[in-house]
Amino acid sequence: MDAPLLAIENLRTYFYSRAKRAFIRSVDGVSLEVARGETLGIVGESGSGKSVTALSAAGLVTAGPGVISGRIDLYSNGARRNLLDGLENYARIRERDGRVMEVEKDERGWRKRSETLMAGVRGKEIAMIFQNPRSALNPYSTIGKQLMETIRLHTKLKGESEAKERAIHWLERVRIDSPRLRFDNFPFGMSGGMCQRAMIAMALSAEPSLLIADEPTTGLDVTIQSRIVDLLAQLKAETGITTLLISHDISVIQRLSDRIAVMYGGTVVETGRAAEVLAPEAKVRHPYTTALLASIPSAETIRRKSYLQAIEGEVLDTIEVPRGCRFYGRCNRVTEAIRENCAGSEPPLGEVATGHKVRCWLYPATGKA
Amino acid sequence: MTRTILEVTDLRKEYSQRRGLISMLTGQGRVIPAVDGVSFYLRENETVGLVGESGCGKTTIGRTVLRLTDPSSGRVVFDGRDITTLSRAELRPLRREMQMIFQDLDAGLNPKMRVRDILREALTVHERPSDAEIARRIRELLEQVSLKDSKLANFPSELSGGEKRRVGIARVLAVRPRLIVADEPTSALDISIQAQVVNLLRDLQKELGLTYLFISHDLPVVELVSQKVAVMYLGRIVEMGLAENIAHQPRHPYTGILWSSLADKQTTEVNRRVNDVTVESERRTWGVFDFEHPASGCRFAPRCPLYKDKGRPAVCTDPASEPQLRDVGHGHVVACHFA
Repeated sequence: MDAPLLAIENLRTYFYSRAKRAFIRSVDGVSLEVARGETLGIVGESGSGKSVTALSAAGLVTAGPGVISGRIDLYSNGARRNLLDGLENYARIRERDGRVMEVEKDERGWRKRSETLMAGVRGKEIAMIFQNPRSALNPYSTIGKQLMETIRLHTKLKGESEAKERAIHWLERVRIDSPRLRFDNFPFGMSGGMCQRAMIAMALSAEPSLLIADEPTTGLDVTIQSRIVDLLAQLKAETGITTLLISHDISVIQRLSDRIAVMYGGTVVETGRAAEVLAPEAKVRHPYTTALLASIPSAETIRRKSYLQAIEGEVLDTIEVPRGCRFYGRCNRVTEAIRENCAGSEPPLGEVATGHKVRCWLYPATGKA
Repeated sequence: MTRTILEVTDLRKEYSQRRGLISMLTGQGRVIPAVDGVSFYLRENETVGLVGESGCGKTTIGRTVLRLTDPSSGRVVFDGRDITTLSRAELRPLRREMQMIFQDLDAGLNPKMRVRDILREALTVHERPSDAEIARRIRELLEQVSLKDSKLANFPSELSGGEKRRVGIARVLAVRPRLIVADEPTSALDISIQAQVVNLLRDLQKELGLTYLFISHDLPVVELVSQKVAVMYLGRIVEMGLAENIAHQPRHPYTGILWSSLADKQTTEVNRRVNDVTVESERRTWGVFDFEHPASGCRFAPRCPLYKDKGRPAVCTDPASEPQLRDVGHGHVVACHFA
C-alpha cells in the first residue's frame, strides 16, 4: 500500500452512560489505514462504532466523561501529526481486568488541548459531510455566503469577488443547476438532494486532504440517492480525493469504495479490497459479512419468494462485551472444533490473503496477526 | 377467488396551505392535492405494495383508507361497507379490524408503561376479557411476534429497535385486525433486523390471514412481500400490476427509472429498456417535482425521458388529455400515452 494519509491505531472511544452506570465501548480497539487517494468504506449496523470512529478522527468527540485513546496519525505536508497527542494527560483511567471502571477527566484541559490539535485540521485538512445536510447548513445564511466563508477561511482566496467566483465554480462542480441563481438561495428553499450537493461543495471547497462522508445518502429518496452516489463517484474520479465513507448501505459502499472495513460491536471484523470481500463467490469471509449480505433480498430470493436469511438475535450492545468473539451469540457457522475458542477468547484480526484480514476463529491467520 | 376487503375509488385528499396574514384572514390559500384521484382494491389475504418518492402521497393514502385523516372526496369501502362518511362512533367497532403499523418505532408505545401494560391496554380497549384470558392472550401475542417473556417488565426505552417493532406489531395484533396498513415498517431498523421483521410479517400473514397495504420505498422488500404493486407519482397511481411485472417489465417510464436508480447505486452503467427507449438516468434535468405547480397534461412529462426521446409530443402537455390508467393486459394498468 502507498503511504497512508490517515492511520488509526488501536482507537478506543468510550462514553459513560449515567443511566446504566457503565461505559459504552463504542469503538473498542480499531486500527485502520486510509491510503492517499483511496476510498475506504466502513460498513456496519447502528451501534457498530462506524460513525464514532469518524467523529473521533475529526476531533468531534468531546462529550462528557468519555475516554478516547490510541493514535490517529494524519500525514500531511510531509509531516505526521497525532490528532490525539497528549490528550492522555487530561484523563486518568482506572481499569480492572482490562475493563474501564472509572475515569477522572480534566474536561476543560481536554477540550482546550483537543481544539489546539484540531486547529487548522478540522474543516481544512479533514472535511466532513453528514447524514442530514439541512441541519448541517446554517438556515439564516444563503448557501453562497456559507461557501464563501469556507473558501476565505481555508484557501488562499481572500477577496470577496474571487471567493464568489470560486463558490460558483464549486456549485457547478456538484452539478447544481443554474449555480448563479442558487448562490442566493437559503437552505430551506432547496430539496434534500440539493442541500447534500451544497454540503459536498462546501466540504470540498476547503480543498481538504481527507473527506469524511458519514451516511451521505441516508434519508434521501432512492432516485436522489443514486444521483448523490453518481456525483461522489464523479468527484472521486476528478479530484482523486481520499475519502472515508461510512454507510450502512452495502450497495453504496460497494459502488464507491476501493477497500472496505466491516465493523461489528466496536471492532473491525473484516477488511480488504471491496471487490474481494463483497464478491458473491468469495469463499473466505467473516460470518457476519456473509450474513449481512444474505439479509438483503437478492433477485433469486425475490423470484422464489423465499424467506430472507435474517441474522438471529439483536445487535450487540457494547456495554457488556462478551469474553469471546463478539458475534458468537448470533453466528451460524460455529463448529464444534472451534466453539471453545469462539466462546472463550476474542479472535485476532488475522490476514487470510494479501491485504484481506478476518477476525474469526474459522480462519487461522496465515501470516502476521 | 377471494373477496375484496378494501376498495378505494377516486380518493382525493387536499391540504390547503396558507401563507401570510392576508390569506389567513381571507381563508384563501393554495391547495395541495396530496392524493389526486386514486383507485385500487385489496383482496383478502393479499399484499399490495405502494411505492414512490417521499411526498408522493403514499402515507396520506394509508391514513385516509383507515380514516385517520378524512378524505376530501372519493369512496373507501371496507368489507362491503362504505366508511367514507361514517361518524367516529360508527367507525369505532371497525377500528379493530383495520390497524396501522407506523414507521416510527416509538409510535403507540407509551414510554411510561411497561410492555405488559401496553399489551394489556390494547387487549382491553375493545372488550373486557378476564385476567386469565388476558394472560393467555399476552402469551399468545409474545409467541406470535417471537418476543421473550422477560421483556414484559421492560419499558420501551429499554428495548432495542427490533424489539420495539415486535411490541408494536403485537399491540396491533391484540385487536385481531384483518387489514393492516404497514407504513415503512422496516425503514427505521438495521439491515439484519429488517430481514427478521419482513419474515415475521409474512409469517403472520399466512398464519392469521392478514391483508397488508405495504407502503415502503425499499423496492426489493416491496417486490418480495407484495403480490401487486402500485407506483405513485405526485398524488396519482401511474402504474399498477403484479409485483414481478412492475419490477421487471415496467411500462411507465417512471417505474423504470425508480427501479433502475436502485441498480444505479451498484453499477455505473445501467440501461433499462422501457418501450424500446433507453431510460438512461438523465442527470441534469432530474430536478425535484413541484407539487404546487404540477405540469399540465401528464405530470411526469417534465422529468420524462420518453417525452424527450419522442421529441416533446404535444399530447403529453395537453391539459385536456392527462393520461388515465388503462389496462394493458392481465390487470396491469398504466397511465402513459405511450405504454
